[in-house]
Amino acid sequence: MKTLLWLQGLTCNGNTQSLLNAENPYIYEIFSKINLLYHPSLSIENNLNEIIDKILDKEIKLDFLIVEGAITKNKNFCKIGNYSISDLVNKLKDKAEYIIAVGNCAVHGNLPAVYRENKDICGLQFKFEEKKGLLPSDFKTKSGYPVINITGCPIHPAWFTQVLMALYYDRKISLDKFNRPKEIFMYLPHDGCTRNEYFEWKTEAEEFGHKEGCLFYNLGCRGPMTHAPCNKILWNRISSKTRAGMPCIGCTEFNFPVRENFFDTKKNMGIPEDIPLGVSKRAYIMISGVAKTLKNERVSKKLEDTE
Amino acid sequence: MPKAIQKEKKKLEIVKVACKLFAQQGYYNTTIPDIAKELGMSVGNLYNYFKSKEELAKYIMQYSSSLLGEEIKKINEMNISTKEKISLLVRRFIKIAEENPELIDYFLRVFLSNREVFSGGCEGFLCVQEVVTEIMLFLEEGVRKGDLRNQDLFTAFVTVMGPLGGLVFLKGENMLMKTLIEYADELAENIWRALKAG
Amino acid sequence: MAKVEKRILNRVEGEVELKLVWEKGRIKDAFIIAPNFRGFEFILENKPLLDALVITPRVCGICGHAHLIATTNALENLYRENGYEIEVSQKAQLIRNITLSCEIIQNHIRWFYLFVIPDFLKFNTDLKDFYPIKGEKWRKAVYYSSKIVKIIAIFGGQWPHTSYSIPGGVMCEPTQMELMEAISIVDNVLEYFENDVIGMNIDDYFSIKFLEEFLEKSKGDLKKIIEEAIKLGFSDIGKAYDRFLTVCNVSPFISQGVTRRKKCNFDVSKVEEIETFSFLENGKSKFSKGKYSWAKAPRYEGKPFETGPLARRINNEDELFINLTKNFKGYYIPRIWARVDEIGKILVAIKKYLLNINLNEPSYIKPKVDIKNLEGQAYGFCEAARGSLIHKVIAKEGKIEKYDIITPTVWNLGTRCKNYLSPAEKAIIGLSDKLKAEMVVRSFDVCSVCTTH
Ligand code: SF4
Ligand code: SF4
Repeated sequence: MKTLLWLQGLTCNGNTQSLLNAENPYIYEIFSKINLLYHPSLSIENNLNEIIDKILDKEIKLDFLIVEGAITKNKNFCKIGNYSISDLVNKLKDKAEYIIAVGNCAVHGNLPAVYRENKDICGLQFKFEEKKGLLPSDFKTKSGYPVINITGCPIHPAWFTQVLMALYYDRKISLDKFNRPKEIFMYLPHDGCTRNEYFEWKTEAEEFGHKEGCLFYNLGCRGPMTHAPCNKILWNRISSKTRAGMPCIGCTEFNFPVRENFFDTKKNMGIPEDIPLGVSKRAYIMISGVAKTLKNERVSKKLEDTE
Repeated sequence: MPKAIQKEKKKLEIVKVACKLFAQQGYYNTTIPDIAKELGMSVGNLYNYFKSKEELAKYIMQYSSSLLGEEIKKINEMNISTKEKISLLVRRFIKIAEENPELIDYFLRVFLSNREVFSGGCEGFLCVQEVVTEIMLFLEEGVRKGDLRNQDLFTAFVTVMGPLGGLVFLKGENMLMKTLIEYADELAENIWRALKAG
Repeated sequence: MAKVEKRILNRVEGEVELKLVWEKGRIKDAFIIAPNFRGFEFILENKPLLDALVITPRVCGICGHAHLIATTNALENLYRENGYEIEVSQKAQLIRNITLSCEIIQNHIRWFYLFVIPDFLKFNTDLKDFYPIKGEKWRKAVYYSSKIVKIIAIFGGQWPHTSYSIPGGVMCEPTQMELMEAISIVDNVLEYFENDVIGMNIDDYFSIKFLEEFLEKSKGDLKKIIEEAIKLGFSDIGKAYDRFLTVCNVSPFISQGVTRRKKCNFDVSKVEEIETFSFLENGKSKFSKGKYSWAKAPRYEGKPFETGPLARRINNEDELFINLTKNFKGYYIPRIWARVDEIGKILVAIKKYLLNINLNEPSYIKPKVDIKNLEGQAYGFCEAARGSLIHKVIAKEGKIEKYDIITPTVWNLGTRCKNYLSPAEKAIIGLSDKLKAEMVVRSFDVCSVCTTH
């Protein structure tokens, strides 16, 4: 049986909580296939040190090392028994077939890395945008992959479980420039958003609380500039922020914790400073000009009043 | 000369003449036969180029817009300061106005005063999109670089285009003492001061 | 000679260390150590006020929604402190209640089955079904706790970590059909609660006033665990101070108040945070001798108070629980029971909230004044899964100048002050069994990430 060990650094546990929501496979289905060696919130025995010793003595083979939470060497800010989280990662890094960083904290450092008093907070292989994490930029695990990064604050459980299953079945996965699984992070929350028709016709929500209107132009939606399949693999398998009415806040990107004014679109002379990925500003302005001038009857009404 | 280029050249000729007639006699008082006559071509032949007077009217706008748009695009792509861009923009505009006075006339006397003609497919900014887009890009970049004060797009837009249009209008009315280009520096300075940050 | 022993407590939210001082086979002194610190209050400084709605939920992965509601409440109060009306429709209020309630149910189910019950497996009990991962009961707990948070996703887009509640209302505009889906989820989880958790009809359960009556009528997991606990000698252990704090009213089953012998109204000006034993002092980290945890010590009129579902029962003058505190000399059992009991009360309330929503009301009423114009300070309150949550925001020039968060767990599991141990520390003094000591600490529903944030 393949094995999995879950460690936590500086974290809110949100990725673990999110993982508990997993469907297809449910968490207990995963761990019927894969032997869960230890998870701080789920394990009945508290024997992490024993397990680590056995892995180091090669009594146990470690297939998946999962890290949730930001990394620091400073034991004053994060301690697991007598070790820091970076001690533990360093001990195990050459033993694991795969290392998977779950959540923006483990990948990029995220919010904890914004805290001034402890400067050495980072992700496993990145600190924000730069490859200046705990592990060297050219680090690879035994399997030949670098740390596989599942970003998100928090992760959607399926982003993790689908990748885990792919690796479990020895399939190859390709990674993007932040070492995120391409097949997950090649989508944008914009893809499949129920408000897309409004985006297309530049019908902008002026304020919150409406099913109608796109949240891009006034309310800060990052859907078209963020890598995540939130409107393809729905959250809690039922909805998503933008479907419900909340703008995407770009939680899967390295700059999530340093961006400000999440509910306000930054505009220069009325033109959004950041525009949808893949479009030039010139093209964006042209298309919006056309769409704005040519009205679509449907999107100018409350949905209940449409034909 | 290849056929397509020849056709384009002819179209241009038609545009120049039509512009002049529309501006002089008014849009409604000018007919396709008038234009054909002035050009020395048959009415039937003219219809090979434009299916209707309305189509011709719209085409003139698209043509002028892309002419000016192209020029502003070149300025936008230059690696110079926002202030220098304004100065160049003013000069290019004046140059086009001097070289093609009939286009400006047309814009002021036909396009702006016969909006109903331009309703199907040319409403709002549709026919003059190139110019509008390039001006928007210019303004957005200015704010992003911290050179221009952030404000509503439309106030900024008319602050750029209004003075330019006004100046060539005065020129058309023969009110100006000097040549257009002699006003360029002063006008550029005015626009810059009106828009700059801080 | 006193012997000092350190233990890591897992199977809680985040990890906590227990330092136990033993003498003559009993715990003479106990320190609860929260060793991890992320500095959220400092990360919030200088951020635009509304960004707190995005940042504070990320304090905690299991009760982040409570932080969102507390922040919303604090920002709305900031409008009021500045002399501006802020209107929130009843619809928005109900939707907020619904989503917060769903998070609490999720928490209580996971806590009971994933964190508390596994300890009982260590005694030779016959609880195979409850075994982590393999056990049918464990699986059901995961299934239904995940199911209930789907309702949060219907209104807020996702759980964990939505920020769909904002001063002036909520961001969603649900249709009737979505309400119907939410209602079916509630019905389904309620059925599970009746069949598995309490093992009886919910109305019959609500009419119960005495321990014996419950043990006689119930066939559920709760009864099983209570019987085991009694058998294992938990009846007399786990009492803290008999002082209970609840800061909010949640109609119809939670009423604010402060009870020690007598019940009084809660008054936030009587709350203070003592830093003597905390690594955090005056906004700076300090590791001098005697300091042992990142948590502070909140006190009400200088005294430690227990908060959480048991406190809510007591402050609500719930007959069953007043009787239970007489039955049991220790509060381990009532504390656990109160959490589980709350699942039922909340489920029934959510259904009422859902049926009472008037969809014609606005979801959001834009505040008349831009939040950037607000100054000064305001409090936000929320009854979260683990108890009373207090946020305090100080605004200057449209930004956060200071943000202070007092979580329920810091009331229960914070550090000591000169005169008093924290409630959870107090609750394990005198015990002779370290497993039981751990279990008592877990009965407070430990969340170390919230304790320190
Ligand atoms: S709301 Fe956001 S994700 Fe949805 S269509 Fe608009 S920009 Fe795209
Ligand atoms: S919609 Fe945006 S903010 Fe929400 S989970 Fe997806 S990427 Fe993150």
